[in-house]
Amino acid sequence: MLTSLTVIFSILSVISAIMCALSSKIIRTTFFFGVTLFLISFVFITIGSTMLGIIQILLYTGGTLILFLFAVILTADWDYNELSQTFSSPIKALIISFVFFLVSSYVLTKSKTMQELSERFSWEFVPSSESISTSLFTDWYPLLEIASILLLGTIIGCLVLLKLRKGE
Amino acid sequence: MFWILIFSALLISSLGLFMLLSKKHILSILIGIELILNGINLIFIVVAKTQSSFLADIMIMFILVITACEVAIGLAIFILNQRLNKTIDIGELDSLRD
Amino acid sequence: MEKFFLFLILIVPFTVILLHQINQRYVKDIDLKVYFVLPIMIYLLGLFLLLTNSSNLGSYELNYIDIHSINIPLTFLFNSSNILMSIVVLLVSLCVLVYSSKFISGENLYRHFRYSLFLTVFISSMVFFSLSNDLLSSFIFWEFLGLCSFFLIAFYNHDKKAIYSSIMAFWLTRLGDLFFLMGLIIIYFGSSSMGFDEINKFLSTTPNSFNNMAFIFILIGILTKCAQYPFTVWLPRAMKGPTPISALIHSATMVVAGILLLYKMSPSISFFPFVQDSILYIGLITSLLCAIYALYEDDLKAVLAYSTLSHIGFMMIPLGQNSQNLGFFHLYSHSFFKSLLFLIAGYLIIKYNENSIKKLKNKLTLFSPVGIIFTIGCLSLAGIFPLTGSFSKEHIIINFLNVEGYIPSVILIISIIFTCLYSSKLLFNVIKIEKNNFSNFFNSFNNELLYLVPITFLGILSLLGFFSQNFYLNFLNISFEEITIIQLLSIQLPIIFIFILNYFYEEKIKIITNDIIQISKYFIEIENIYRTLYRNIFVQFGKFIGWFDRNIIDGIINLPPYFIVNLSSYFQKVQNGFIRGYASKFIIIIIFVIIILGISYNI
Repeated sequence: MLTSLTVIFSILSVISAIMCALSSKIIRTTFFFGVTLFLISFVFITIGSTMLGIIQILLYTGGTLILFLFAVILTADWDYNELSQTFSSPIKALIISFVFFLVSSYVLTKSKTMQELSERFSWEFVPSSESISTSLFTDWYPLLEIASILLLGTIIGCLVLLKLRKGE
Repeated sequence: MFWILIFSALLISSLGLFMLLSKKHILSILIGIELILNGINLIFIVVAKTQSSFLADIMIMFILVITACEVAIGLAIFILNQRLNKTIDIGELDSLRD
Repeated sequence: MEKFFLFLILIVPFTVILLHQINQRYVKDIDLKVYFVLPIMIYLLGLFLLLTNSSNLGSYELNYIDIHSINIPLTFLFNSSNILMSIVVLLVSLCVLVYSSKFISGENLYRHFRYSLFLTVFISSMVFFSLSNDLLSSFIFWEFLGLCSFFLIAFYNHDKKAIYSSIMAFWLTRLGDLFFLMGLIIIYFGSSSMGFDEINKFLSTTPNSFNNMAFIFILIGILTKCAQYPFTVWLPRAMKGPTPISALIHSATMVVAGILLLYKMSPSISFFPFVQDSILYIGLITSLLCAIYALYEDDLKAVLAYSTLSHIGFMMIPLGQNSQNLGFFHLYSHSFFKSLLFLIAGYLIIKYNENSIKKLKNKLTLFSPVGIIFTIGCLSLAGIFPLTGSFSKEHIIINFLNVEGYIPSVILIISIIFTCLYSSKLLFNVIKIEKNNFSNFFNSFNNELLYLVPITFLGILSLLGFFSQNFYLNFLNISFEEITIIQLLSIQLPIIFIFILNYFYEEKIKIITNDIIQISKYFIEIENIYRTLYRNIFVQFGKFIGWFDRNIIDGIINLPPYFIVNLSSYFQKVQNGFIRGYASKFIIIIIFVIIILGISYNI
């Protein structure tokens, strides 16, 4: 049950990513992007990282996606009508990304480490949110601080950037 | 199961790469970057499941935070650029050529 | 003392330059003779120093190259032969300087400066050359001599022929200098010293083929400088220069510099039979051919030039017979009467504005000061007893006839006969014999005093044969074999006979000698050979070298930049200024990194 759900979600996330790439309107791209994020968070939940999936939904869908939507709304009059208009050298990009996919998948499938890891794959381990939080606030405390300072800096930076006007 | 997840993650990353390289709209490029990062997240968590550790969860949380920062800054620059240069096409931003 | 003398000689060209600068900036309308008065005074002082201190002068060494193990000083040795040569140079130079102050007076200030500067540079470097005791300093001053000669031949630079002849002289002597330099380097590699004493010791102890080659190279350099047979072309052409220059440079001093060098290297000549024989036979051939050709020439200065060549040949002969003091003696006496003749020739040319002997016919009366001195000069040239020219020539002839076989002796005798013929031709064509015409003897004195003083002085030196011989012998502290009366008469009577014969039967002698002259003409006028050589070898070789340089050497150097430029113009397209371009290249690199990592971790 859980296995088939995971497979379905992962396949769906790939399909929605393809839809995201092949949408002509930017609003549709953003929409399918959101769908992909949701599906990936579902995958997270199904393979046992419930807390991570929830955080993904909260942060990405609640934060990032809304930011994207605002940006889309602010620039709504700048948009493309046809799919072909939205690409500038798709063939080249397709080749590069395909080669990237081929090379990385070949390397990963052929690597002995990954083959060993694949045999030890299991859903059973479900880390509790308590243990994650404890680890976050004890072992990874400096990283948390750095992340919070980074967020603060980002807020200030965004404000400063958006206050710029032409000619300044 | 493991390989399906890995391949789907790689596919999502490659699609993000494709978007990054081919799209004209700056927002689409940002979305491409997000897709790459999501694919990498997926690989992280899948590999972590084989080790029975929650290190990947913590790492992904930080990646999420950093992504959020990056998106915020990227969008701010995008809006600013749209205001100043009156364009959203990355191909028209060619002042580096001079 | 040595240092002071060398400094005194060295300073002269610089004083001339200083004088010119002062003259140009502060003084206007100066008497232009000051350009000659100042050097004359300094050279007189130098001459005085040499004459009074000749016995107690040592040597002077100047560190020239001193690079850790290589130590090549410039040495100046004040031994008797070197001092004698310097005295001769200074004497003739002083005469020429006095003469020049009148000769050049028609020219403007700048030309005065140029003339005086190059003349003083020449005289100073000639003095240094005669005092130098190592090959390197000899070479340096040798080059200076060539350079000054080049500038002074082309002194009349509105005349294209003068410029061509100066260029020709310059390049021919340059060729010889190249050989000289090669020989010098080879000898230096062998002996690791430049001093003549060490070189002579080294050459006489190891006369191998390598040193033989080096000596031949040096000999080629000497032959070009002395304008000996294969290189005779440049000296008659060098007569395009001012006559005092011809007197000083192209007869008395510079062209005999090679003889002086050979004299300095003479202790080792006898160890190299080939070199010795070539010196002897080249001297013989040159003396013969040039003596014959001088009879044919019509130009006054050209006759003197060919006679100079012939006399240099005479100087070479004893050097090839291991009796170098005779050659040096002839050098010493020749410089007086030849410069005298040149100065008189310049006087005649200036006065009558004519070069040709035919047109100068009977222009000079015998009973005028110049006429008398000209007669002395011509008799001395022919070698008539007891004038200066006769002693050295007699010694050379007797020495030669004692040693050599029949054929060389016949050649020498023919060349002496022709020497008599051309000197008598010179004398009897120019001089007009009038009797009882002493009335205007002193007429020209006031006007031409500056011409007459040096001419008279040199005339006295040419006249007093016994005195000059004794001076030479005492100075060098040597003695020659006594010439018996019979030997003297057997040489002098034919000479005088031929000399007088030419006066009466000039036309007939011309007809008789015509064939010989044609043959010598064939040998002397070899400029075309030089031209064809130049065209076929040097120009082609130069073109080949130019091609080689342009295409191979430059090609080797230019190939990498060419590649790099092409490559960079290709790689410039990488930097296209679009973010997406950079991103795609970045990703391609990442793909490569993945592949490399995959390979290196043995997937």
